[in-house]
Amino acid sequence: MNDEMKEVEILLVEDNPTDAELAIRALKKSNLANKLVWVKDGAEALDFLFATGAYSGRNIVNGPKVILLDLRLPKVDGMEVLRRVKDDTRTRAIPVVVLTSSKEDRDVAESYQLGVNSYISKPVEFDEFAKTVAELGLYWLLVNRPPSTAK
Amino acid sequence: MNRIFTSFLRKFTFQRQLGITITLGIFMLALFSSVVGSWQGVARARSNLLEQGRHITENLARQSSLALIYASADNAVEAANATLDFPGVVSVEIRDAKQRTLLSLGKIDPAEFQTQIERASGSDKSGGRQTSAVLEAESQNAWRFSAPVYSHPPSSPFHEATSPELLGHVAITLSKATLTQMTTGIFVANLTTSFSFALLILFLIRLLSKRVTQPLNQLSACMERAEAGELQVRAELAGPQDIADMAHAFNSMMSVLEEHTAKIRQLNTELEQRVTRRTAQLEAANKELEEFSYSMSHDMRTPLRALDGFSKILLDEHSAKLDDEGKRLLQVLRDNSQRMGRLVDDILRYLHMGRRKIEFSAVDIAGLASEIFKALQAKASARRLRLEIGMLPPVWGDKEMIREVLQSLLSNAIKFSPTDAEAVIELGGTAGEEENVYSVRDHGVGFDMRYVDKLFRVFERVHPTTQYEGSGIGLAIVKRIISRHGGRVWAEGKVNEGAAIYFTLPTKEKNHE
Repeated sequence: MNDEMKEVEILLVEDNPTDAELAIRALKKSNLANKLVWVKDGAEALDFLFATGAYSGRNIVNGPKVILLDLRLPKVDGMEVLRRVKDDTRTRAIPVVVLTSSKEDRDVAESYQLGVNSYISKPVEFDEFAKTVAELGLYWLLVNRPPSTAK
Repeated sequence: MNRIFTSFLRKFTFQRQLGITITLGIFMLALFSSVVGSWQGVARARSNLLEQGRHITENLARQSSLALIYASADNAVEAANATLDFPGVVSVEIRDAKQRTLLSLGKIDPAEFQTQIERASGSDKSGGRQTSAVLEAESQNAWRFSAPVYSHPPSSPFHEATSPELLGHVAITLSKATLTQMTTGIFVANLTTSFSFALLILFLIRLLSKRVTQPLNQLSACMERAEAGELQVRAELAGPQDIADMAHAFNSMMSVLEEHTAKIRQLNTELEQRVTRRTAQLEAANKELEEFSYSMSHDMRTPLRALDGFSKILLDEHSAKLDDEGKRLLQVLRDNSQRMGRLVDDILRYLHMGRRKIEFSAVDIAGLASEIFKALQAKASARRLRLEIGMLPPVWGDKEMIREVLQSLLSNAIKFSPTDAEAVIELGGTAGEEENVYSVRDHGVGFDMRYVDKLFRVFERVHPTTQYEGSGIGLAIVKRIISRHGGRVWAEGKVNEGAAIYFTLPTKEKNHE
């Protein structure tokens, strides 16, 4: 399949492979992981979103429909990714959900200041974690109505 | 009386007191000495005058014998006039033996001496022979002298001495004007001299006392300045030797004092610096420890989630390959990783409450409690729970932290209440001047007061985990929050009779001091 044509629904930005696997499994159970891209650091996330570097062949209008963003990331951290997404008119409309283990008031406040759409602290219990991730996917992909220009 | 006098004296300075005493003393001395001196002077002048009067009268008597022998006034006029010329002599009178006036010159007022003349002549008759002049009478303004006049037979060795024959009397009146004048003069002179001396002495004393008291005053002013905190105060070395010595002693004392003060100040500064340094070190160490605990707890969450998650996946997707014991063991693994997850979350909450910046505002504690209680009731829908809210003083604190406190206390109260009957939880309080007291009381299992100290320590429990769940961190969080608000926490309980947790919060006014 041509990269340019490939439509992406979920961009998962997560450096921890076990957390990523658990998230992907949870989404799969709800049939939401078909159009999912997993990137392992902030730099790769920015390349993907703005179709640069390894993703230069990609068409920006092809999504994603939602970004699940961890905050503690190698290279470029999650907060910077959030800032860049919300600063750019091409990506501003994409909902960003911070999915992190941080419970710091500072992080929560800063994320909302930058325009995050939701802030979720990862539960330790897998059942709860799986439920939260699945609900997230369902909500942003099926319940929420994005602006028509986003496509 | 004595006290009044003492308090009166206390109002004056030493110099003034000394001045008043000396002035009064000297003026009284001057007055006394001038009065005594004048009195003596006047007495002497009077006796001189009387002597003079007698003398004049006797002279006149001698010169009047011829005139009386011949009963010729003319013979005596010259002598009488000469007598009148004496100062103070105002009248002259010559009478014969039969008291008939032979000659009378000058102004006489017979009435003035009436009584005395008669008495004098009376005494003359009864008394013996009188030869010299006597003070016959005295009035307010004058003296009257009289002398008998005898015939003087020529004294000759051939004649036998015969007793002289009384020819008559002479009398003169001597005015007291001279005496009065002299008296006044003596008084004025005495007073003037005494008071001049008094003034001179006072002036000298004043000079002297100034020399004594001025350095004293300066010294006391110096001491006052030093007492008020002025630095480098030194007294001038003036005045008499002993006062100068005192000033010198004061100066050395001040030097020593300043030296000591400087030393103390320096030590104090050093101590403060050391305390500040140590405090900073301690705070840094404490912060580092908390940061470490926080990061550690935080980083444990991901592997714990993996443990729980992959055990679950194993159970879900590979259950066919596991026997029942394998499944049970996996479930134990899950239960424990979940418990550890909750523990880590509690530790994070505890640490978080220590790091969080307190944002003060008025908190509707009753509303907050009802809201939390409703959520707790929803979680335990099978149980019958009732919250009784009593008098609650207004709360001034961080709303989220107070919520944490209520959440912890109310869920504890529910947890330890009986499950087979309605559980009544009471929330109450009393208002105080500096702090308000709040309490959450239940009627559950309670606790033994011997273990009351364990209640508020992290991970310390009074009841076994198997009976009541929980990490034992809830009350430690409550204590931390209340301490950070400047309040206190304590508990009261009795086994099977319930427990009450009390906490205090400073009033808004106290908080803003």
